[in-house]
Amino acid sequence: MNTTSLIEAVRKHFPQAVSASHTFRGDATVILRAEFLLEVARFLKEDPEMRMSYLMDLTAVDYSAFGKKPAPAFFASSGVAVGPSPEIPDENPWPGPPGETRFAVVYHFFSVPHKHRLRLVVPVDEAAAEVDSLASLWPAANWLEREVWDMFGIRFRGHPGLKRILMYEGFEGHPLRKDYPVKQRQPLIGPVN
Amino acid sequence: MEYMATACSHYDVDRFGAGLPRFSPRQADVLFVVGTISHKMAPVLKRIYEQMADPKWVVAFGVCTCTGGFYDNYATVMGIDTIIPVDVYIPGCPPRPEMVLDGLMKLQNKIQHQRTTGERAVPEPRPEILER
Repeated sequence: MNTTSLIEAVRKHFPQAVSASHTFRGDATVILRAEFLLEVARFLKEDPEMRMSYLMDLTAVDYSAFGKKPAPAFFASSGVAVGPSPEIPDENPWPGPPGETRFAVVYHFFSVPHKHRLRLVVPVDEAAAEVDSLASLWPAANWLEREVWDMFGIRFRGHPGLKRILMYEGFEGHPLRKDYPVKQRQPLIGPVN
Repeated sequence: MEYMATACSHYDVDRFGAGLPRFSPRQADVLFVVGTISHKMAPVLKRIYEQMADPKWVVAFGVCTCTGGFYDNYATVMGIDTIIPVDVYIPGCPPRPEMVLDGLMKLQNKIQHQRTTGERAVPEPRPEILER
């Protein structure tokens, strides 16, 4: 199934779940509403046309600093062009952040028998930062969701044991959020340096 | 990985007497700290250092252990000499095997000239003008 037919199949089965979709640079992306995540994921895993048995990645994005402070590229001060010239029209521009929410949880699925891929994006609000856990369907989601909890603070309902995986107990805060200062160290032993 | 390059036949650290890595700190004389140390790992490193028997020396291998390297972030210890005392610093990302052997020779020189009072060896003289 190619990218458009994948998106059409998801839309046909769950018309009220899909809020948007696009195929940017050859990848099929579907933007879902959070309450339909578990049903759509089960459909992706069990439907014989889809058979997405491999959860490749589960991560999150924090859009709170999006577009605010463009960090120039490393070589920008030398005068070399950083991006393509604005005079060349971009026929297929990136659609932008998926929703108005602060976070978006991103899932990458791959089907080993059919060899097609799909990306699911679930916008998550900051106030109620909770989505359903996929650990019951894909065991790999267990550690990936622990990492998202550790780094972003997004909880997963139904996860068997959501605790920090990369940072240590006693670390306060969620480091990959944009409002966590990068250099703020909380050492267990030794000086703060 | 860079330690493996130094230990294998091309650069051969065995001819300096350092050919046998022991995987227990209780049997070791020198602790080579290779690679980035995170704050999660720091208490473990201190414990391993304390488990070594005297006399013991520490080599900070790679720039992440010397000063933290280019990881100036929430997770990295900015130099292991904030936690344990270090005898030789080998910078580099990764250090060339020749630099590792030079560091090992400096450590041997330091040990040879070390007295019970702990005075430091005289550093080897360097030429005034560096030729490029």
